[in-house]
Amino acid sequence: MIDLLYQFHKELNSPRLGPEGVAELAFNTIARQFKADSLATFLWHGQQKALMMQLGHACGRTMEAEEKIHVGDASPFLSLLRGKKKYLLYSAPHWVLYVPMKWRGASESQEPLGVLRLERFNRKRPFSAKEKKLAFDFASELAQNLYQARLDRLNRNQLGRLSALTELTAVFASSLRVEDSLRLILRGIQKHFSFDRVRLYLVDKEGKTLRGELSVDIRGHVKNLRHDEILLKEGIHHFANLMLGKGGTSELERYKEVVLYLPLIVQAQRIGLLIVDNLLSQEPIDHEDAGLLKSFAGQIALAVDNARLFEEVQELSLYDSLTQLPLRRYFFQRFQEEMYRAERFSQSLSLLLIDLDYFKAVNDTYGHQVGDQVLSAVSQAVINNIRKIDFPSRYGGDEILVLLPQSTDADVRMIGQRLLQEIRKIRVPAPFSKYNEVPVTVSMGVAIFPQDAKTMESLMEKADSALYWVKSHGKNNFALYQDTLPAGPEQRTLFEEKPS
Amino acid sequence: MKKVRFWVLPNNGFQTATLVGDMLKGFHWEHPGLEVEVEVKTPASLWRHLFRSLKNRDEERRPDLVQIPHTWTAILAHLSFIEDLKGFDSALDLDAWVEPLRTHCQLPGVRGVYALPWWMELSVLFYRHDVLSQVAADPQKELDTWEGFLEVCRKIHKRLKGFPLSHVVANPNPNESVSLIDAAPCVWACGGEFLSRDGSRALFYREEVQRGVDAYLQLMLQGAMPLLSRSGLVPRGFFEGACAMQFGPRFPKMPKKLSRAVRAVPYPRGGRARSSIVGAQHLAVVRDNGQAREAFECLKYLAKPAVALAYGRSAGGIPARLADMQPFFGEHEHVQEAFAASLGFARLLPNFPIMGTLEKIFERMMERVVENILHRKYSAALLREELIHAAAEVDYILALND
Repeated sequence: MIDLLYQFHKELNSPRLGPEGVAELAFNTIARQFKADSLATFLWHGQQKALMMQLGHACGRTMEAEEKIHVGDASPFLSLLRGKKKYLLYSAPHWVLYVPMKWRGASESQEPLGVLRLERFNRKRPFSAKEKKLAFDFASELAQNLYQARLDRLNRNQLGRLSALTELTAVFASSLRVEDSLRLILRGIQKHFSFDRVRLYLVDKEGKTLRGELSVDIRGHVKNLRHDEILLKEGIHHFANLMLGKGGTSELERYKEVVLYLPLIVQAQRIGLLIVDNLLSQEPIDHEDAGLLKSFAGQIALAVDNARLFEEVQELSLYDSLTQLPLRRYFFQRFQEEMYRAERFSQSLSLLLIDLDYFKAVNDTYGHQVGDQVLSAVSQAVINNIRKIDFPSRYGGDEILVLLPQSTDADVRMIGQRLLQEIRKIRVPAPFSKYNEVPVTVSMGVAIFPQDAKTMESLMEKADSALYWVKSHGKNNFALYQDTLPAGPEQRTLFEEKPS
Repeated sequence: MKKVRFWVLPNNGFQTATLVGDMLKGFHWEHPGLEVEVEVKTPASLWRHLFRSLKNRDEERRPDLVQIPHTWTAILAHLSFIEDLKGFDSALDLDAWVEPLRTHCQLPGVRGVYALPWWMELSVLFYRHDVLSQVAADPQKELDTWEGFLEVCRKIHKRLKGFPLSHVVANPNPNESVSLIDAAPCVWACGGEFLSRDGSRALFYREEVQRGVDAYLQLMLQGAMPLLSRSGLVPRGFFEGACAMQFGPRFPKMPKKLSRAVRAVPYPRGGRARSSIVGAQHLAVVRDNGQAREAFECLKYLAKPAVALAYGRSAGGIPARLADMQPFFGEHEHVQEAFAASLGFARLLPNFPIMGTLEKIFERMMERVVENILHRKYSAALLREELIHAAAEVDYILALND
């Protein structure tokens, strides 16, 4: 008997075999040894109090099979799993022998893995005492190898997911925008963990609303969830309850097998909610996966938070806080891109340079506070009256630049006229002045690529030159560079007559 | 050599791979350069593996050709997992198949054909006329209504020890639970529906559904249908000669002696109407595989009338073409009559992508209900609560998936 067991041990003890391979090899040997007509392994699912069939073997074939044995508190199967019995034997409808499958841990304690079932359809061939003892030993050997093979597979899977997660969180260190990073990380989680859907909600800056960000569906398609806003008040929504630490509702409890809610916490602050689910496939989420994701939730939270902070800092350095206009550095990046585009597609690109009239006098007379208000009001008027594709910027001091891609002379004249009219309407309150308000006017010069200049520098020069021309011709107006050329008096007329 | 991976359900138990392999011999003869690798998966495992390969196309092994229950076609087509077969053969015509089966080969609102029926599954009530005659039951009359059927169950149950039977009614569900397909005829007979007409809302919560499910569960509650065997083995079924009656969608081979005693009638009439359920086992080609054209050739071969009939016989699957009914049933004219009559009023489950998921949710819910029956904790209120929660879950999924 010891020889048989040793042989069995040697057969199964191959590191390359997965759990199915181990079971198939063992089934062939056991079926031969015991002349069994049918064999099956059942794994113990403690939470469900059930033994679930994993693989079956009959007619020389091993395959997946579905059967479930409910194990109640008084069930003899419970005695078998707890080690109180060494086997269960039934004689009807044919001979059926169950032996426990237990694995021995490092502490030498034995843990139940499941049971092995042997069937003999011929009622004249019962299982002898010797066979029962041998079946018990074979099942223990099988259990040890099955457990090891499952553990190896689990470790391999977890290692794969761990490295995938590490790579994903590293995404945030790259220079990608927050939304791009979030897309990558959510798609990565969906793919590597095989979830049906991954959703991300983030708490807004004020901490009052949970806003939907992105959702990745079963096909890896990314959807914007911006329309989804949940007020962070207790009782309004179960997401809000979760974020406020008020615990899960009974509804959440029902879905716990297929939905996992992971609050994202940074320095005790809940900054968002990551929700993964298998609702469509109804596949229970692995405990191991849930544990891995939970332990990574902190890192994901930190990465999301860092990325958001980074974007805020980026925004601060790209935009002027007074006028909300992009700053010079950002403008020149964009200017360069638009020049490339204009050259490549043979399109026009106009550059509009705006200068506030008498701005130094306003500052000196009414103070810098009023000066700032004037500058802010003019900037707002510019933002409101240019096209969506145009790009304004605070060039420095009281100068504003506007890029006007794909604009004809006529377009530029129309936009210029619109700006002049709107800016003239601005009235900034100045309580101690003669009229209690400051009138605002600007002068503008325009140069157009490619007719006026073919490089950024020279376009800037030409726009500046046109502006200078307007300044020197009475201000409060605008001119195209072409208008300022000394070709003939009729061509040098200003675009617009000054208001009387 | 090119290889087509074909995943099938365990239609013939442990013999499935061998029998499907035998069936494919003619195909190999015509396509000597093509190997078909048959892999048998249980329904739960197949569903899991198909979804896993859908979610992560890099890692999972994928089949090229797959057998699926008809209720999965819509979701797999909706998720672009299976091919539109019209792309391989624009002249493909569904007219050859029994009329009700055609709708589930397509996706609502889309012109394509995403699967072909391999065989039909239509529920009738099988009975042992030798057992019924011993309890003086008139099957044509008493099995015509649900009440009459329950009365026959009671009569047999009283004298069960006098028969070599373990139970009165075999449970057609291998998991000793209740599936949506098991309960559907009772639910429909009570006027219940699982989904709203447009498929946007679950209607489990309605009283008619509860009444229908409860009617079916009475078989377990009254001890007519087995729940668990002491030995942990799945109780032997009707076609093994262990029960007097069984609802079933297939007509498998059985021992000659038993075969002579087997008869069938349509599903008994319920509270409001007579109802039955019809479905099919489908064959579909998985998308984005290198072997799609070869898989389609294999599918066409398997769906040929003679091949489908021959394989259907081995698995008990009813032919999906009317012309094949007579050769299939042979001398069992009475059984054929029950199937033919049932086809006139049988219904299909709605053809919406959510159906596969809905079946899973229903199954999970019924496992809990059956456990409560086992522990003698079942009540109508408990069933009602479970149905309401199941409906809410389906509605939630429908909302998330537009």
